[in-house]
Amino acid sequence: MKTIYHSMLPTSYFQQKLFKSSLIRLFTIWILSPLATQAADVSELADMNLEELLAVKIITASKYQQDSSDNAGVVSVIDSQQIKHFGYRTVGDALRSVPGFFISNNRMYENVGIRGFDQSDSFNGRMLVMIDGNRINEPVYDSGFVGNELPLDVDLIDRIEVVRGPGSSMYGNNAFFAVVNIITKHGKQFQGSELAGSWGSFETFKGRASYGRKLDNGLEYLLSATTSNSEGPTLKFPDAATSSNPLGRDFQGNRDHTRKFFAKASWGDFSFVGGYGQRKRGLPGGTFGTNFADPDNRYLDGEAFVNLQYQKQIFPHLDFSGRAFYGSYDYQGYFRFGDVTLTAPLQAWWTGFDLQAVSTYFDKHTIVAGIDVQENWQQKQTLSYQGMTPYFHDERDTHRIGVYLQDDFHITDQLLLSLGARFDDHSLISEALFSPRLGLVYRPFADTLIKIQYGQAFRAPNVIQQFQQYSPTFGPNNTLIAPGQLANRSLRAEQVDTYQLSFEQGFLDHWRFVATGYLMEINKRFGQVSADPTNENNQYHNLGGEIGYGAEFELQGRWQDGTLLRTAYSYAQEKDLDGDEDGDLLNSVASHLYQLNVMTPLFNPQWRGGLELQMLSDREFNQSKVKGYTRVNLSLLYQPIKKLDVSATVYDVFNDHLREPGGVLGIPQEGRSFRLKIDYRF
Amino acid sequence: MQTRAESAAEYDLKAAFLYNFSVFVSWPTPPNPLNLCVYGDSPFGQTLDKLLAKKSNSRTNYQAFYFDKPSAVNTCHILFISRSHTETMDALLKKLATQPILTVTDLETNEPVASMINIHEQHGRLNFDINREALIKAGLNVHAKLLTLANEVR
Repeated sequence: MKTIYHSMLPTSYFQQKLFKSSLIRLFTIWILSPLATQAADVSELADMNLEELLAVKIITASKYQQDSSDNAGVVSVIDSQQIKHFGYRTVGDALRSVPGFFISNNRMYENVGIRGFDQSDSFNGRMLVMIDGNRINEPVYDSGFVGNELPLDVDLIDRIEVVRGPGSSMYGNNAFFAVVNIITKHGKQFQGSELAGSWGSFETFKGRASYGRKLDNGLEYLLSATTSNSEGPTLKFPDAATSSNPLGRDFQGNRDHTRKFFAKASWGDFSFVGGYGQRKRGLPGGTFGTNFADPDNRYLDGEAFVNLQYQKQIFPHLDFSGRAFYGSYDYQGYFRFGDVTLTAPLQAWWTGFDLQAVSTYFDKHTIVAGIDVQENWQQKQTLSYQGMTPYFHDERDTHRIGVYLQDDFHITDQLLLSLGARFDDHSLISEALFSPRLGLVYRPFADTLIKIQYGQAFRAPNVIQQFQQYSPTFGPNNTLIAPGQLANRSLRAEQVDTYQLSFEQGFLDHWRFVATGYLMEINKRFGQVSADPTNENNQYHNLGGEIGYGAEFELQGRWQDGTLLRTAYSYAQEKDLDGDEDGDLLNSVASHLYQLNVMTPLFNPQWRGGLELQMLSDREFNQSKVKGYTRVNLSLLYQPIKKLDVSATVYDVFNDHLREPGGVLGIPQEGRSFRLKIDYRF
Repeated sequence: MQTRAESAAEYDLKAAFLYNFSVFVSWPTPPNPLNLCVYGDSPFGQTLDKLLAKKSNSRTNYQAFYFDKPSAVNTCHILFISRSHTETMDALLKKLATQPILTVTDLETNEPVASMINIHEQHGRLNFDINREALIKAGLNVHAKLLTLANEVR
């Protein structure tokens, strides 16, 4: 075998992600956020007059659309208006505006950094992503997609709810640093057809057709299809410069093609949601040691999710919801090493159900109990050189079962105590996992909230970490070209204990200030380390402990005319508890983050402008140190008639966000780019 | 958490609306007891009974009735027609058109509804539309306040 080796990134860095992919899995919970709100009881309603009743929000059975005041966690919501006005192209774009969040694009996936911790090594596996309560993190790599690889067009999103802090007491696996719940629009919000088209930098085109309606008989549905194509930026990899290519240019190595379908329907007590997305993408820059700038390097992610739900108020004080789901994930990689092609197919599919009851029978208590079961019928991964016998092949059939219970006890009108816990049994780990949570919400004055939360969360080892095994590759003279991988069946789940204190104050009608302090103690964290003194093989191990601590300060203002101001400063720090002997997987800490979002009408109500700014401090990752950046996006939205939106956005106006950590010289970013978009409804 | 409830279960809230309508409507003869009827599958559970028990006093005694057939309708002062009987609703309303019975529905639709008051969801809260013509035909008087609170009056 002849292997040419231009490595943009150290093999150890990307190895785990390598033959990867992601997918979807899910289970769910209809509860949008971990704490249920206190619903008014009958006697309370009986004393209210009609004017007061008109102001009361409805809770339909099990659909707890609650305010952040009812949640001991810290919640940020990004709604469809903001997605439109700021020109967000992906969920990742939207998450850049969440306090403590940043996005690291490694040219394969958009990875979410949370509270200083980069997740490029875990494919967002330390964050739970859900679409309408359906778990998106797939059961092979755990990846929680937020980029163009997410099987959902952002135009179909009604809002994104981000809960910072642990969520395992309700959701189990992966709800480690945060929970991101994406809630899609309803057919009623379309009441007809909508066509959208956009054109952007790097010959990027995207088109969408949607049709939604609510009929008089109660049937509501939404159908949508999206396709996009991008030639991708020409990226420069100075590490790979040669005399014939002095700048290390990779022309269109990051091309990207997607197809996405979405369907949603509800009728009476039943609702259905399903989607499929497939993305084909070029692999730029000789990642994994593939041939540099070889257009045949490519990979594909395809995911599907289907969910059928039934929810009903069985008794006046008991809501029931039951959900059955199906999901599949498919990944294919074609990587060129010299004249040979490495193929890395991966397939998984799963089904499951989630049953949940919410009881308000006991005075002052809202009790949630549920069981969440997922059977992964197939988790198949293969590595082989084209035309040859696979050198690695593994098939698994696993399951996980979780039971959870939560009680929100309204001790007084000012004080809420929330107790919750969940037991998880994963068939691949011997121990049962217990995730407790304790929250206190105190409202001393109408506009003041103090929240205290303690929670434990976990991430279970996945089949890649437990079973992937292959031999090292040696070149001429027995030089090691790429290390091998050893399986590790004895991995335990990694866990985090989080203590969080937050203070919220509303003032002058339009303003809200939130300050949050946190301390996270991570233990048994997964890391890939050398398994032998000669570094010929890598293996996943449970490493030592790590502490993350910091604070976030947010200020928000909102006015009737649609003007919005959000600004936040976040500080994050990390400390290794055992003297750095275990590698640096998590230590790409960005200590300072400043964010600003302004949305305002311009000239007249037909015109709106958006300004977005993110400043992140320097980061280190393995060998590379990457300078901080100031990323500014400017948007303009014009609505000449009610049926038509025309929008334009320039991203990274100052062309300052050019490198993300990785490799020796960093991973190039696209820099300044633009998009024009038209939405037409009829 | 709140001194005033900010959220409530959908039909608990609708039950409270039904009671409040009775305050703003005057019948040709003041009813006592005031009969609030639910026609079709009741979505209220025991809420309506509890609420009316709490609201009953020496001046007015409120009673809830539940039935599936349109025979006993004549004794009702307020008639809530459940979604389960939407199909036969128009025929029933036509029959009752000149009787002093306040008819209420909760249909989520953009079309005009034949009942006198239709409660519907709006931005996550409840609101209602008033069919003034139907009220006049039935000889019911409505307090101006109710008209100003309504989402739509036609």
